[in-house]
This record gives sequence, C-alpha cells and structure tokens, in this order.
Amino acid sequence: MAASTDFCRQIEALRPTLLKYARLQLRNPAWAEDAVSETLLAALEKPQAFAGASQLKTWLIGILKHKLVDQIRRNSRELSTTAGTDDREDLDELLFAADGHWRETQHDWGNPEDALRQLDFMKVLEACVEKLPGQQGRLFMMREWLELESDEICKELAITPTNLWVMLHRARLRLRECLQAGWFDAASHGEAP
Amino acid sequence: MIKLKITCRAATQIILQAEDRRMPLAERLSLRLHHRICSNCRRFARQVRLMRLASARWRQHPVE
Repeated sequence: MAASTDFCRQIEALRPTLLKYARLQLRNPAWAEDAVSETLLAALEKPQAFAGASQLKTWLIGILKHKLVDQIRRNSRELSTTAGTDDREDLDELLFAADGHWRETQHDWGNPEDALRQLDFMKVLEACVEKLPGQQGRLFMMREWLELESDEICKELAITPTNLWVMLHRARLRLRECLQAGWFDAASHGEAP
Repeated sequence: MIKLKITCRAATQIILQAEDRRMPLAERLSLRLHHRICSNCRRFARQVRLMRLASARWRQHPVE
C-alpha cells in the first residue's frame, strides 16, 4: 500500500520533533539526520502498520527509538572512545566540603505534580538535558529516554559498569543544578497568586 | 564489619546509583539511617525522585 499525500504531509510535519530527539540522543547531527530519514522511510513504506492505533507522533517516536539504537550500534566504536573525555569538572567537589557534608542547604522542590503538570517545566527539563556534555547526555538519554538497562548500555558501548555509573552520576547532578537554577530558583511560574 | 555511618557525599552516591541498579542491603540500611538525621539528603532524594518522574512524563508526552 502506498502512502497517501495527506499521510506524507502529516509525517513531514513531525520531522522537526523527531530530529530534536535524535540529536538529543546521538549528539551528532549527521547520525541524527540518518536516523530520522530511516524512520520516515519506514513509516512511508508501511503506512498500514499505523492504522490509527495510537497518535501518529507516538508511533513515529517508537520507530525512531529503534533506529536510534541501530545508529548507536553502528557507531559504537566511536562512541565508546569518547567516553568520559568531555567533563573535567567534578561537581562533587563543588557540592561537598572535605568532611563530606553539603556545603549549602538543599532546597525543597515541593510536590512533583506541581512542577510536572506545567509545560514550561518540561521545556526547562528538555533544555537542561540538551546542555549535558556529549557523552553524559547520550548515556542519560539511553537510560531515561530509550529506557535501556545498564548492562545493555555497557555492552553496546563496551564500557564498564563503573564508568557508566560515574557518568550517570555526573549527568544527574548537572541536571539537578540546571533545574534548580532554571526552574526552582526562578520566580513564580505563571501560577495564580 | 559493615560501616553504617556515612557522609552526605556517600549518601548522594547511593541515592543516585539506586536509579540504575539495585543497591546492596548494607548501602540501603546505611542510607536509611542517614536520612533519619539529615534533612539535606532527604531533600536531595526527593529531588532525584522528581527528576525520575519528570523523565517518565517527558518520555510519555513529547514536547513539540
């Protein structure tokens, strides 16, 4: 079955969204373009597989996730050699005194639902993920967005579990700092007074 | 002997690693003990929980 013009148009309209996620995951514009092109081709070749079962966007992102894993496999050698070279700053040293205590009082972020139901919060989260250094961002996305298990990630990229945990530890600390500064320290978020 | 008394730095390491693997009993117990006396680490743990929930929401509802 050939895809209808209307179907093509709808898919084309979602291309920027797919490309955004592909870039966040791969941190390489050329690989991201490839993954998105393969996703669109797969969708256009099998439009009957969609059959309105879910939202078109959800369906396409599902295909994209498979294509991203393919890209990671294809480029695994290059990806594993860049492990841990992009972050020389040790956030732990900034957060903790020599005796292992917090240097500063930690903030109460309140009820998660208060932040999560706001679209602006999700935009800040996305911007913070984008700001993560390359390999940290890639590993964080593999874990949280592709939902791969730690041992799968280690296998695909040929890195040790310790290396993975160190990188995820740093990524999550950075993300926390970014959310604190970009959302929780910022003034009211359009909430009714 | 198991070392039950841990620093905040060690506590945050356990809290973060627990996102990616099941922690051994000794670590979980020492963290529980630490949380009793440390409000900063309790807050940190809640922040990490919020980030986990936020990631799940982000995954389920893509931002345009």
